[in-house]
Amino acid sequence: MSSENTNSENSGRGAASRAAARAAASQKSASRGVGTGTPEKYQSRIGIDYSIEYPESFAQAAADAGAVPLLSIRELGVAYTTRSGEPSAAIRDVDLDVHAGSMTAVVGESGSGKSTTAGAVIGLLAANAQVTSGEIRLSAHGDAPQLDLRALSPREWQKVRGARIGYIPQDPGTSLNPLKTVGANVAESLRLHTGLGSAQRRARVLELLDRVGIDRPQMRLEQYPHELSGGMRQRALIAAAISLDPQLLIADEPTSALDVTVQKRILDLLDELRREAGTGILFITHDLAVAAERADELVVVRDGVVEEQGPARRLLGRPESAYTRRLLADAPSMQTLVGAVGPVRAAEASPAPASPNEHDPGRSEADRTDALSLAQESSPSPGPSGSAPPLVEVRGLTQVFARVPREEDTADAADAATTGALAGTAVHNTAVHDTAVHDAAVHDAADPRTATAPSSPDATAIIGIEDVDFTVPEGTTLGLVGESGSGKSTIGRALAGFSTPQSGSIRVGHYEAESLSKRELRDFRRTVQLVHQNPASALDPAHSVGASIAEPLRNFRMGSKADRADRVAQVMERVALDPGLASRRPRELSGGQLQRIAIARALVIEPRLVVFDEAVSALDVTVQSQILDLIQRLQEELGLTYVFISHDLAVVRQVAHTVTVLSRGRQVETGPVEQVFAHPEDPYTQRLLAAIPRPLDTQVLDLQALSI
Amino acid sequence: MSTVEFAGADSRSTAQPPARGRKGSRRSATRTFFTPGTIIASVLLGVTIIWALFPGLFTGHDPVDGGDTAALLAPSAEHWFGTDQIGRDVYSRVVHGASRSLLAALIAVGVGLIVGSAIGLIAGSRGGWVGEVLMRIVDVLLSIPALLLSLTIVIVLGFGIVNVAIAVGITAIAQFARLSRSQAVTIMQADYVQAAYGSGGTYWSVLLRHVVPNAVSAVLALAVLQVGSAILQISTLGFLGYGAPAPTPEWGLIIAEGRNFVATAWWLTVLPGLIVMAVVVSTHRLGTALRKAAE
Repeated sequence: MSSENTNSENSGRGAASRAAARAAASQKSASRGVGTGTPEKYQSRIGIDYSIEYPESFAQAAADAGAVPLLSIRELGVAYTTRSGEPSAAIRDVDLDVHAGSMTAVVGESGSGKSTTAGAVIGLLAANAQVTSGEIRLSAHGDAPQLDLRALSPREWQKVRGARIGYIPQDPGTSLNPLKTVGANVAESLRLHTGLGSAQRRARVLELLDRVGIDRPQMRLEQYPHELSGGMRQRALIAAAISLDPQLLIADEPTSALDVTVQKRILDLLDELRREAGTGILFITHDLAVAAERADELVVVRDGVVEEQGPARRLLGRPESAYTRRLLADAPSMQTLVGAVGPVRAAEASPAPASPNEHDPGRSEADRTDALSLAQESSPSPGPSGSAPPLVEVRGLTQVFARVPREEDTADAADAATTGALAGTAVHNTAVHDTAVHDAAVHDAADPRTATAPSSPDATAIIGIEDVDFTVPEGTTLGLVGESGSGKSTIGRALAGFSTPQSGSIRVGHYEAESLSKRELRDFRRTVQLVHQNPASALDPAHSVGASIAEPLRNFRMGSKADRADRVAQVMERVALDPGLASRRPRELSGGQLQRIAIARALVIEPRLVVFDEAVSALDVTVQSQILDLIQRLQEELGLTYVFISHDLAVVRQVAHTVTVLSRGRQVETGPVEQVFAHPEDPYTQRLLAAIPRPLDTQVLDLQALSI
Repeated sequence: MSTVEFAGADSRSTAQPPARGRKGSRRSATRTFFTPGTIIASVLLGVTIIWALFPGLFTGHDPVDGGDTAALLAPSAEHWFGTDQIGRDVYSRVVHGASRSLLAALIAVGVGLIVGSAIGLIAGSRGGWVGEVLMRIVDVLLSIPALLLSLTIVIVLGFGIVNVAIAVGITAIAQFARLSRSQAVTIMQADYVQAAYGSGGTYWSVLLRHVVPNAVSAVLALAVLQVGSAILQISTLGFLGYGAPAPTPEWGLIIAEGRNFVATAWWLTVLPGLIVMAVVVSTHRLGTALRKAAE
């Protein structure tokens, strides 16, 4: 290699290094034709024939023939040097292999060293981190030699990153340069690594965008990242990652920021890529369900040490480590599994298998059926004799921020996808508002099972909510489910008195929440409390957590100063926190503790209704499970009524009695939770349920047998 | 019983890593704060403050009455900065002038800080037409050149060091208002403000309990930064003759008086000028470091 041409060792993205790399690339192209890969491979992979199904055994055969893993990590240790001097180990003795065409998933909670592992593989660790021991080897590929990734110089790294190892970052929202078009973003590594002219690059980017399933690539190429939905952006990032035909892809939580149906499509795409091209994937995730569903090999890490690893099938069937068992038990998706695999059985047989959750001791069956019967009354007619009127009654709630023409429905999506470029400019201006619709539409069309009627017959899509009705009987939980942008939080805000709806009525107890005077609103707040998604931002960093909990008491002038301290201590014990933590600042506590504090603050003035707005979405799975248990226990002890807003169906299934499903601002289905989940009537609900990761479809996971 | 164990497990498993990180970041923050530049700046500013408090410790000469000392002496061991046209020790005048200049700077910054942050915080947290009107008033203040504005105000209020300080303070209002407004706007969008309203808070209780404490560090950092430019502006006004009347030792005035002898006795302007410059640069350096630490 003519490495003396590469006159910059800077691995950053400065203009200087880019120019240098371009110079180097053009030098290379003079001697080798095209870039670092072989032109034939591009043709076969991304050319016109990519839609041909490769035989199932293809990837397997390639892996067997090679026998040498594509990526092999042995006893890897990474340490962060701290200011105090001695380095602290972030990961220790990590062994893992990625084979061609297979996926190895590294699973762990935040701070477990997952991302550090990925960073070590691609040579992009933080400045104060160092690989202290072990080896990382990338196998030979075509005419590219085997590499010891630890020994590479920055200049050598430039030829490996992008070209041989592709990287798919976590957050599609911030990983594309907002000042460049999608086309320019995707073309970046082509520009750096190959000598292709701009017309050739454009053609290649078109192929790539088409390859990753972006509809109308001609048009998308010219758009800016903000005009694309999250799923589309992630597709564009995948297109960029595979642009140079890497042998290994590193996917760092590629779907964590996405809705569940979008997540499914992205995971399907990754599956397709590795099946067709034999690309190995190192998949980093905190979501055991996702990993279990897709990966061939699982590596469970905790505190930088591998807890357990092995084939996904074995590891899920017979987990050996206690930690893996706990993760399995805590993952709400896993608990859904029993019901989801056998919905008929769950509905017909005794209800025991329908609620396999052993963490849920207090919720008796009678309780549940009682709730169901109450919920079935949720028609406008008043409740039956003997039962009190529901605590919350919402009628025709409407708050439309904008109406946008729905330019196409699922029916003509296939059309749009095939005509592609023709549609180009015609829909350009409307597409800005509704790219999510495209994304959904195209892939629904691709999936025959879900390509059924659209969820709403109306001609316009709305931003906001329209005509939402539901009731919540006292002492029960209503789950509000929907993808991002479905209007869940708008309902939550209206319920908690933070916004006044345009029309419709909200009755909570004896308050009409839509027409409160300023003084009534303050009283109303003693009845309804809202718990936010992110406890770290919902607590004032300048106050001690005790002061935060006491704030409602102070605002409502309840009790003397000493009384307040007592009540704060009581409520902290109630949420299972040591009252001694009251003097701490929010930044000194963990996410789970902060959410307990936020719940304590909501409970201290003894409200009747608590609205949880994605209250567990930002938490690790084990902490999430603890908080859900707490929420359920408090409901039993205090007879609270909950409205639980979440995008996570599994979580809602666990805590809710009745569930309302929202799609793009409209209510598509309401009913008792078991009924909706076992026999979804609306196609949207069906699609939502189908998208939940379901590890090992054929195998029913018997949680009781795990003895947890 | 079980609940306590529960919480214990929770804190053990999850609280430690952030705690460790925090300690590290605090240590690194102090380390980045104490660079050689900030240490020198603190020493210089410290000396000036001691001058202002105890001028008698640093000089034995009378700042106002030169007695029978020869005029326009060059700097020497006896008279560090030389003597002026009527034989007064210039170093002594600078030392005695420190208190007046620093006090005036503090008054100026205080006026700007209090009035400016009040305007900015209310504009940022109230929004609507109240915010619009307040910020347009601030825009008017910004549109007039600071020196021109302060000269006008001094003429209206009358000469004198305190009036000069107030005038300089008024010119600083706009900057404080803009900064505190942007802080308030950000803070008002935070979840904890919504949560405070949700727990029954009124506008004023939210403003005082949540917005002010969270905005204060950035605003105070700007205040330190402003001390330097206030000293400069006050000296400028003193130099132009709008400040303290003639015999008073005041930095601007000292330089102004020396101006007539620049060709023959350069030290009369250059040495006090260097002192003013050193103090201004020091406060600027500290203010910048504080602002970075606050972020």
